[in-house]
Amino acid sequence: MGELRVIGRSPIVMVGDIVEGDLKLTWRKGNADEIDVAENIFKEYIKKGWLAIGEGSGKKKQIFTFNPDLEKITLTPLFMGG
Amino acid sequence: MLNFGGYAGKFLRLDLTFERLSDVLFDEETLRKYIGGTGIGAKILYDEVPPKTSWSDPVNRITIASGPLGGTTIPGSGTISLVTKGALTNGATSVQANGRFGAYLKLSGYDGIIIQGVAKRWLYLHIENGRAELRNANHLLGMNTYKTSEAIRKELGKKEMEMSVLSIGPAGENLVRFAGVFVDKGHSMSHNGSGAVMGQKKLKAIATARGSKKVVVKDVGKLTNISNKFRENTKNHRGTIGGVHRSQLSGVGTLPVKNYTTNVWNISEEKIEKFSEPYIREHFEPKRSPCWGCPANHSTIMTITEGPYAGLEVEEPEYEQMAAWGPIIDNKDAASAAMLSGVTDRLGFDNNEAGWLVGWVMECYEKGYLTKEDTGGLKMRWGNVEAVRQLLYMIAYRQGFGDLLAEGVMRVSRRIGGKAAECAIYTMKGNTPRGHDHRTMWAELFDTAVSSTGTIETHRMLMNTKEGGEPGNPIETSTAVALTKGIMAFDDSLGACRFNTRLNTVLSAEAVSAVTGWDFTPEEAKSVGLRAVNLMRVFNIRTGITRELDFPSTRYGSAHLDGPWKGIGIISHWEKMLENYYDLMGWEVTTGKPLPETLKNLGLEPSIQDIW
Repeated sequence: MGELRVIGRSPIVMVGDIVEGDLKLTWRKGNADEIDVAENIFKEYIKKGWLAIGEGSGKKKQIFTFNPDLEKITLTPLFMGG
Repeated sequence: MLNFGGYAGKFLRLDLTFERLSDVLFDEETLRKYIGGTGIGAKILYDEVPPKTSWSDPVNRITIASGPLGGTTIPGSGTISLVTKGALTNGATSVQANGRFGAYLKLSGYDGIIIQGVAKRWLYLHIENGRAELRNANHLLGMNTYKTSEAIRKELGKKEMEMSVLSIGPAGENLVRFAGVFVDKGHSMSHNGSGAVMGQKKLKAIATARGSKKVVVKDVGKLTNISNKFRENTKNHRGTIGGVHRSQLSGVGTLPVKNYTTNVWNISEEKIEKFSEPYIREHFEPKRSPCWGCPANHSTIMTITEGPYAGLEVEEPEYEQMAAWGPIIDNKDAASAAMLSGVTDRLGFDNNEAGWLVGWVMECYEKGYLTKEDTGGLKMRWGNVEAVRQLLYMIAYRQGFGDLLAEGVMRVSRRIGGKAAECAIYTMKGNTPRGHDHRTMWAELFDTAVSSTGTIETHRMLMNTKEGGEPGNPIETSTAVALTKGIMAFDDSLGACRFNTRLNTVLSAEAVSAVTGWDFTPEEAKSVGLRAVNLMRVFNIRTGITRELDFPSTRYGSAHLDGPWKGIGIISHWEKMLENYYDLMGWEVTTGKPLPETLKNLGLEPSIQDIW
């Protein structure tokens, strides 16, 4: 089972790009339809400049491409402030 | 002629000791590896400033550079980055200013300037269309940063939009440890005493005319599309000036109040409303003074229209300036906060350090650790704006009590000692934080304390307030800081403003490809940033700044005494956060040294022998 989670809360953003709410998405290994949905969401947020952190074997790291073999992907915006 | 786009093709080297100017050329491999701005500045610092060198040594370098996006259609691409060994931490420093200087420099034929040596007389540098000359600056001495810009333009016969000037004020001339470098009116590169380094070198200013050269762009159509996307980010941007108002209303405890003695600011609705962005824009007669190609309603010159300081012209303060001169010193009058911001910019020092310094003086005065006799007769009560204004002048000119304070928060608090020392907010490396109550913003507190540059190195505020009843999960927080390292350093290497790029590494990497003609990937971009971060870490370690200094001062890491986070502090988690952070960074957990494998993976093999 893979999991994609979108986190976006910060009450202290200075420049108006406040994003609220979480999105958790899972896919089953080998299920092409579910993987396709997760990948499309991943690409949508990456284009907007969100940070993607991949977790699987080895240390967590920032990723730029979708990998269905990962156990979990977390997406979060990079907040800007004054 | 370069076979790739984006670069003017040469840096200017200025040796002040011999008053000698020369060109420096970097090959394509080096430029691709370090990009520009912070990246190339870190390389020059590492290569040319030997270990154990003091910030005030003539061998210290100042690199001021744009990047491949500088001077293009990317909005806000007049940004420059300055890298040097700073006066507060005696370690690496990377600071940025927006405006027009970077674009003008590129159009004048230079990607950057490398400054070394110490002049025998005060000088300023004039650059115009591929030519550079040193000019006498004796007549500019004592002038504030605003007047210096105006005087140089007048001397060279240039109108405001025809020339960009960066300069130091009296604070830099007098080696105030937190003096900054200011571009035109109020765009500051002020962390970690960059202005003191410039003052030590006896360089008063650099003026660059808007040259007539062009930045070669390999794929104009693609760059135009990306520029439009960035412009979408910024077209409704209205600056950070209203941040104090927003933070106060949010009630989450991020506003820095009275030097962290409280987390609650008692200010009336009527007065806090005057800190709001709409009120200030409506009442302070803003005139647009946009950065290069930027559509944002942000960079303006304002005139204070109410109160005792009416008539004073100030560059639009950012949130941090309003925080420094509002809640930190318990000044509830927005107009006089803007005045103090303008005075600080003119005298030429860092608003953040100055705000924390004055806040510390006021707390010490209230508690009797400092008296009127110590302060030269100034009654440093909370909110006494006029006393603060006078004190700022005393600091800039190193007069009386001001001479002591000119050493910055850490040094002066240690010198006074006793209970006064316990009230001071700083990192153990010697810099102060940005103008927030970081005790509610753990990611930024942690980042500030572990940073190699004297300020934050990443931009992510993990505020998972639903977990554990604390302002963050400690391990998640240090994980977030580690995983985002490199993003900002890459962004600061591009020559473009962060309010436009929004740290979008994917889109920025595409922009680099469009400009240069390289197939530049986001992964490569991340490596550029991590290379700079690791190089500055090794630079600091070999100069003696080690793991023991990756900590906040007692007050900076303290628990809240009141407010929504009463009794909660970060420090009990610190060791575990640090270990987790080092591990994720590929640094040795016990020492914080970048591991040989980490340095090798970033192509920094020659640096391994310096610390292993």
